[in-house]
Amino acid sequence: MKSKVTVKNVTKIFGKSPKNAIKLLQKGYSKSEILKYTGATIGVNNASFEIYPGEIFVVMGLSGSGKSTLIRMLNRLIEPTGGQIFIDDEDIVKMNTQQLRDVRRKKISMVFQNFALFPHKTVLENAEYGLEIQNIRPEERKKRAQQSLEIVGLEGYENQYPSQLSGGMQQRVGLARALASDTDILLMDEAFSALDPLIRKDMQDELLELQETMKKTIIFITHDLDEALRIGDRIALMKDGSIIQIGSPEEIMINPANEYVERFIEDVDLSKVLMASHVQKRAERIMSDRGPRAALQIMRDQGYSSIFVVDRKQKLLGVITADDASNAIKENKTVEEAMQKEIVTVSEDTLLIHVIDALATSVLPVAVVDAEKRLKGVIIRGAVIGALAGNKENLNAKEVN
Amino acid sequence: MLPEIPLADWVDSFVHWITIHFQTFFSSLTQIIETLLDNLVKVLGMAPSLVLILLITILAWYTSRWTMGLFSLLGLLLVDNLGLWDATINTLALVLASVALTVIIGIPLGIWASQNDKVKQIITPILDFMQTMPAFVYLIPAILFFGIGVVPGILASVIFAVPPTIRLTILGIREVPTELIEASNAFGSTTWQRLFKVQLPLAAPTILAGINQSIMLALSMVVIASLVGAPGLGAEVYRAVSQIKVGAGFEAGLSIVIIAIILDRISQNLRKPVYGKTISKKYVYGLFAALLVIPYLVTSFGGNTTEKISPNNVGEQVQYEITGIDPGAGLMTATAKAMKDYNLKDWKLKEGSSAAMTAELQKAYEQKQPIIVTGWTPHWMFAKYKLKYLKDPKESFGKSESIHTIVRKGFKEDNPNAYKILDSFYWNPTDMEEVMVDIQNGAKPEEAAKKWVVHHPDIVKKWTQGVQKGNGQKVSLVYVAWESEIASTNVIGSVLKNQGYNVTLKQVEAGPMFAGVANGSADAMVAAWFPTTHKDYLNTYKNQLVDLGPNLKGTKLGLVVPEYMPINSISDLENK
Repeated sequence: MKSKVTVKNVTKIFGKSPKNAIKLLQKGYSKSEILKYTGATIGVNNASFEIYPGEIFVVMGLSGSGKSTLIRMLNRLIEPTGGQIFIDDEDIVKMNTQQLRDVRRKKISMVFQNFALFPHKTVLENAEYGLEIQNIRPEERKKRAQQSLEIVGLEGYENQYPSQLSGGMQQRVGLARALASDTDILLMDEAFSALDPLIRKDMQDELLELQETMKKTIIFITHDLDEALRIGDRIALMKDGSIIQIGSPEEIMINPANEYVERFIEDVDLSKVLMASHVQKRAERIMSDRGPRAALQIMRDQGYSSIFVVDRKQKLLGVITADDASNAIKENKTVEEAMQKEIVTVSEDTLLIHVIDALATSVLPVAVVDAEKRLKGVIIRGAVIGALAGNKENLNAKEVN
Repeated sequence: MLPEIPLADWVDSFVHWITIHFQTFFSSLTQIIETLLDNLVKVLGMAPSLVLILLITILAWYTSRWTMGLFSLLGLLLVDNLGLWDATINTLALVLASVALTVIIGIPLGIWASQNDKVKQIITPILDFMQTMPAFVYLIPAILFFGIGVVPGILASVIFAVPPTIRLTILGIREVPTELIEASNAFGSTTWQRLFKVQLPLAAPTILAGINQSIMLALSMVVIASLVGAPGLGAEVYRAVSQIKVGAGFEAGLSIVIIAIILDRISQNLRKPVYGKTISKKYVYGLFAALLVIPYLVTSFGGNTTEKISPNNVGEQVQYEITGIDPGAGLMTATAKAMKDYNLKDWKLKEGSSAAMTAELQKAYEQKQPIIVTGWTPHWMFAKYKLKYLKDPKESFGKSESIHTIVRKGFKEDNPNAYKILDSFYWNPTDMEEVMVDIQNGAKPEEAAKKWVVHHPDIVKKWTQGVQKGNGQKVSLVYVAWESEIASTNVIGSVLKNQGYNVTLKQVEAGPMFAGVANGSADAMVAAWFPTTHKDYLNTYKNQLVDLGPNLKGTKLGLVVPEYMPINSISDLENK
């Protein structure tokens, strides 16, 4: 896919002697060493990545990791010290003031952590600010601002002042202001961090919902891993100005690039990130037309107490236990006659938290099936528990990549 | 030892250079400001005082509650009743003009410095300098550049009052949260859009607080501005100080307080008037502005109806003005009398100070321009410039005066030896001028006096003959800061010191000088001009003083002009 935003080797150094700092940086000195020798602070160190149209790209990291600096270089609120930033194939680092202003007006809009609403303007005036400075006719801009206020559910508050609204509503105004410009790219700088947890969750859901219809390219910054995992299509993890790992939420969870990422993800609620596919084991199976003796033999060989029954197309029909099989031999029944048809199944992308539910309600093994009910694997209790405890051996990492 | 750095000389020649090279600029600027101010005074004084009082009352009421309205009404009626209305209008006009200039200069500078770190770095130390440099110092070059009168007063006020406006404009704009600036930039604002749509509206309260401060500072400058001849309540206060008129001083001071409170409250609440919700402030301010601007335009473009009566050359050349000294001086009273005697009723006597007068004279003299000043002998200006007294056939200035030595009651008993020296102190105008010229040429007064004492042992001997040496007793002398008095007081001080006394010299205004000796806080003065100049003071304190008779005879008062002027007598000034 063709990228919307391409960041190439972008570096930002704050302080007086960036040239010395760059030299040291190239020699491999650390951020704190460079600060000690030159007094310069590394904001962002040689960041490169691509962002594709319509995705939510989350930049995550602790305070001081350089994520706010990085996002501000995308619309040049902060001048990069070096590197290139292409937006729709145009390098904005090389643009003059006029061109840059056009990009800011037409292509990129921004939502801020503390909302950054103009306290002297009403909600409507705030929402139409981006249009006002483009000298768009008042009726036109009022209409568009009104529309974006409706999108975020703020109709009726047009003539209020920001101070009269709650935090959540204020951030909706910030969002409406960004949407009113109708730009392809939306920069969100810790947009929900100043909200309380419940409202934050609502806003995340709403953003995901909006994104379904808007299909904008969203670059979202957060220091909250849960938030990143919840809304990010892809996540870039930053530390000390460098990007350490870029990947989907699962990739980061399952294959942390280094110890730092591992520590970072330590406290995450894995049950909300890992899916059935990550813990499923190969399921032993038997064709429905086979006899119970064969079933019992397989069970004995593998040390299982039950085995799934499938048809020729691997479609799951049921499960047969060792007891069922023994009885079937005595009563001379087929496997299909002896098997149990009531069986709990989950799909491959079921989150572990729901898999646990299924495990709790069933005494029989839980099967993983695809949309055509074909058997994909089996969930073993031990593997789930091991995975939740952070034990990587229980994960099917290779199958994910 | 290091030689003394001739900083004063450098500054002098720099100012001199500016005075000469920017003469046209300064005089046209003076002209413009004077015209504007004249018109403003005319507009404010056009209707009966009650009209303006009511207008101000309404504005105070509207912006700052009815109690403030009531205070304004009563306060201004009191001012009017005290007969200080004209002075109040002059003061108001001076403050309004200063504030207008302050805003015009200060806000753009503040905006510039708020956007540009370099400018801020340059401007900040200059502002510190402006705010801590004593305001009097501005007056000195201001006189040379703009002459005496209201213009140097306004400019000194502006220099003094502009720092808070600049500082708070910078502060207000800079303290707009970074996120809002970023938001404004992120949507693609131009610098101007950001400034006018975000920064200035948010900085407005802080900027207005700065303007309020500037108004207060401008008002506090009116008294100082009166030293260079700015009219108004300040001049009333100055006059009262120099004549020790407690009551008059209190009246003028109280008027300033009333004006200050009214201006402070109105300007503080201008942005959010108390009754702003009942009546939109657009209408109220619009109406108020119209009431000021329309008559203003009418007065300034309605043609000049004031026609000069005679084509008198000299009068027109000097714009019918005589440049005077401090308002309390007897010379000024005498000049006023002369103006009556010679029927100079279209003429104006400008008040100022002796320093301002000599600065004006210097300026005119260097450009060979006509000027008429109030002058007296002995004075160094006669040695420095070619000047002449205008003949005074009607003897309005009286005959020649003498300078007397006066001591406090009981001084003779307390310190008989010092008393004897003071009693026998007597010298000639030529002696005095010797000291004065030395001082004028840059010598310190004590040095010049010491030098004279060393060079004239025979005269000094006459004063000290047969007198026992002192033993460190204290003798305090007071004097006014006239060149002649500085010379004589330093000479006698030097002599007393040589005789073993612990001498202190105190420089004061004429009024305090007499009052000080009369109430015993000073021992003596050698600077009393009788019978004309200090007549009033002698009458007031006659019984509390001991007059030891003249220490110098042959002084003279009168109107003085440079020799290049083609007139010889005061009667030449009369309209024919």
